[in-house]
Amino acid sequence: MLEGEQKLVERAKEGESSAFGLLYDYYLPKIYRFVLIKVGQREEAEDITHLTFLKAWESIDRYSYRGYSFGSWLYRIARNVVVDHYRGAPIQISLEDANEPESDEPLPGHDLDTKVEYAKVMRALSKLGALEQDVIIMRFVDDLPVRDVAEAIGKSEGAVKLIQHRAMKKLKDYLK
Amino acid sequence: MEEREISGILSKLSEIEPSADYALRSRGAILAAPRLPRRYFGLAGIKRYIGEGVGFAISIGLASITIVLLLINVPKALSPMIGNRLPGSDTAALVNDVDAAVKDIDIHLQEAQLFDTAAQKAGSALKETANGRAPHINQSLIQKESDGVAPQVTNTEPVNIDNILNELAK
Repeated sequence: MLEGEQKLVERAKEGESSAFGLLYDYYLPKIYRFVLIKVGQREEAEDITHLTFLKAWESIDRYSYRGYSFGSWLYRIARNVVVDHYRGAPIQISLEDANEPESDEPLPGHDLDTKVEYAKVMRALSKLGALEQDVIIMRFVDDLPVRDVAEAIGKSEGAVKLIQHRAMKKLKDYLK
Repeated sequence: MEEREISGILSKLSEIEPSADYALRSRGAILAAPRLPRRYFGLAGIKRYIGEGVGFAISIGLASITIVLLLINVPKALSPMIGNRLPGSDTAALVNDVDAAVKDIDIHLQEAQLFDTAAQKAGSALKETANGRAPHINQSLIQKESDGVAPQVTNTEPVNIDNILNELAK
């Protein structure tokens, strides 16, 4: 969680755009990569990320602190925007795309072997259900605590742990 | 591939970041967007809308009372300042002026009635005289009245005014 986050949120609620700007700067990379991994296309990820923050800014009065980070609320908005945009369509990333991505946003790693490894993981990830993808990305990519993930997806912490365990088991099976 | 390797690869994906150009453009566009009107839900919303209604009614009531008080008190407060400049605004002076005018009118009315009565009496007397039907008018009576009105001259001797004047001139 960003230090002094709740004060920034309150200032943003009062209409102070610079306060929301700080929240944007902190959460933009997280939300962007969450969306990019889900949709696989840079331009779509940018559009969805932009729409997510726009919705958050327009309706920030609806957010109230209940022990969860502001980021949880943003992830929830992002999930809804992605669902609205694709109606739950699964991630479509092929090995060929991963080896030579059309996106301007390259996968991490400098050598071909690393990129292939990433591509395999991404392909396995694409076989998971939308909820399992969300939990894996939030927990292992963005390193969110379980309770924030639970708030973002509207489930209990126990349910998150269960979904995570099941999703990781599936990934291992896909990557055998 | 083990779970540790998978989680390691996934954590490396955190290096993905949006381009600085996109971040700048998106940030500017979002912060320039107008905010939606503030919404209230549940009990807070009910309280707010009731509060707004009561607040509006109180505002109207207070505004009305203020206007009435102003209409009553402002002329009173200003009368000492503008009283000399606007004599017409002094009601006491106006009453006095009206009373004086009424008195003048009463006096003129009384005079008019008096003249009317005198004229009527003179007219009837002249009419009676002209018709010779004035029994109270006879020579003896007139003489008597004339004697009573005329100055009483006790000195019957003729007075030689010229002689007196000549003596005075000497």
